[in-house]
Amino acid sequence: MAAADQAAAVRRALESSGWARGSRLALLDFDVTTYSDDPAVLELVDALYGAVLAPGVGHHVLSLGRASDGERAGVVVALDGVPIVRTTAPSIAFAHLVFEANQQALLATSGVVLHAAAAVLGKVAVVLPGRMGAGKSTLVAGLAAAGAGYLTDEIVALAPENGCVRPYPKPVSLGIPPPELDGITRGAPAGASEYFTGVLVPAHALPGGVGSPTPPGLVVLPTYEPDAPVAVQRLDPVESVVALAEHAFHLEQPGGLRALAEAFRDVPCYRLTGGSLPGAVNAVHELTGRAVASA
Amino acid sequence: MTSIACAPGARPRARGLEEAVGVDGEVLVAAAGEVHVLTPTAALLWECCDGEATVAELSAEVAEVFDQEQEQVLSEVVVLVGELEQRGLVVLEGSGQGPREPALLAPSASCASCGEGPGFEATVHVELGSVVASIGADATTARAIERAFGGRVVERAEATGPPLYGIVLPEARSGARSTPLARLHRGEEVLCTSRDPGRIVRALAAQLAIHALPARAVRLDSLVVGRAGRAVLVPVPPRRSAFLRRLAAVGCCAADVPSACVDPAPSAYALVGAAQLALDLTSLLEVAAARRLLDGEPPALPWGNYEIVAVATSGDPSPASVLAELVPLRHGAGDSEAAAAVPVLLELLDAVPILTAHDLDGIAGILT
Repeated sequence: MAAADQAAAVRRALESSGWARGSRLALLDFDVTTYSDDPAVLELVDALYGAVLAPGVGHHVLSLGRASDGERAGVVVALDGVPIVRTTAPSIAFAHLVFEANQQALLATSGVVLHAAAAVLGKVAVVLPGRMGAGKSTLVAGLAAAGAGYLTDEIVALAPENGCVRPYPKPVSLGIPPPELDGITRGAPAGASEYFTGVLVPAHALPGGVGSPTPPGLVVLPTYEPDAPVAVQRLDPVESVVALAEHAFHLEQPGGLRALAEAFRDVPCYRLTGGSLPGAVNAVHELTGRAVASA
Repeated sequence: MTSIACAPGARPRARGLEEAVGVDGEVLVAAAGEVHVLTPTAALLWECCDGEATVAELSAEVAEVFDQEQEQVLSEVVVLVGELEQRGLVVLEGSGQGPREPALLAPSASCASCGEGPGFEATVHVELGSVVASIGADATTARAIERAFGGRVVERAEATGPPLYGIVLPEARSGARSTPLARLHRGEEVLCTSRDPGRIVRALAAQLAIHALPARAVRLDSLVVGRAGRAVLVPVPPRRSAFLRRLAAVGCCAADVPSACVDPAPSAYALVGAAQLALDLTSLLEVAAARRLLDGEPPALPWGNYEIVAVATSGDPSPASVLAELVPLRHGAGDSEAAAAVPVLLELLDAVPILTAHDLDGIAGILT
């Protein structure tokens, strides 16, 4: 059975079981429609992913619904009919749905792809690569709260035709948001249902809105260090490529490293450490100004 | 990375030359998930690794070009080529590496709360097509496993960690108030228990057969319940022994393992047992018979092929419930086994009714 036929058959199976079709999400090159037997799940998806909704029906099916787990009532999350998790905790199931959507966006998108956040400042995209916990989501939220256009907090993909950072405005995932972000987290649907206990800020709720495709003009690698003063260090060209490669996907594909090095050849790259969000936001603004001036 | 010198007679061949990128006078190359920065000298040597010249010959050329002592250069080049080989940037031709061994199946990652699983006196490795599975057992049972698997038994020189499967056939202890049940483990998980060790022996064989299915067959998370050549696929019940007794009361029985192997063509059949492995279980069943505890367990479904006439769910009898309960949980994004199960199950749903697993009279009825 071809993939498209299989997805159609899964959709028919869910619809014949009384499950409701939710929105189509355009997550970079991952094109998916959500399904659930609980309208609250689909409403939550719409509230969080409002910036990536698309008309029509997607190529894939991401579903979350009640199913028996042995003798207990449970929740199953599945992609194209294949269960990803079976759990009795709805909040764990929804967290898996959000994680899976992101993973599939990553797997489906080719070319230069980085584990990074990004925002538009002026006419350039600031790319913030970092491991989990480095502070990239908090920093991009801080930039967005100060009016920058939000592009993504997780995956930076460059458009092959022009090298611009493609918007991937998934909800910003903030573990424990600092008080400086109270303004943007207040409206988030945190703890609003049994499915959701974290803090996810929808992109459309950010003051700067969603940015347009923009060429990268600055790379900042943040490292959150509590109570440490904000410090920046410029990397030389070799260090820059190595640092970017640490956060790059698809490097094993032919020409992967060459494409990465070419895409960021003239883009200044810095490491930024510190524990102050306002200080880090100021530093990024200052570095952006320098980068634009030298360009 | 600890440097390992290669042999001067090795013939290194560079890998990934076409992927190298020059940045600021240095050469960068991605290999084995890392980016390596090569100095100009290392890059030059790497580019000269053509699979023809030996390391000693390359050293002689370098010594001549740079006007250096050949012995000194050789001592550095053997280390450098050794490092390149460790990083996956060269392969050493003629190094005597044989054909790749079948992959050894590993238990899934352990969690702290699960403990380490049982310990075993001996481990037997058996080849199952393109993979090798390890089986832990006591010494007597391990010898019987070796006889049963004959030519499929393979030696593994490297340390392989805990076995993927473990079979425990407890000795009957005279005077003891109770003896532990015979059981089959997969890693830390207990797949089956029984008072009849023979049942566990058959379950081991059937479980191993899952790794050597016909190409078009798929595995489902399901118990095969059957009678007279017909079968219903039922979600694995949490209290299996009670379920088996209730099944026996309506004249049905179930397969030994909590997995259904389904061959979709020409019509869907459940493959019960391990016929494809062509094993001689006589010696293993003799060990099991000597350790038999008590009678009284319902009989297992005999090995064979059973036409699938229905599927069942423990929730509402809907296609969504069938998919949610019977398709195996995905292990990683590239799990093709779980993905392959979906179209087979969807086609099956077009052909057979969905029953409720609690309705054993209904299941027995459709099997008649």
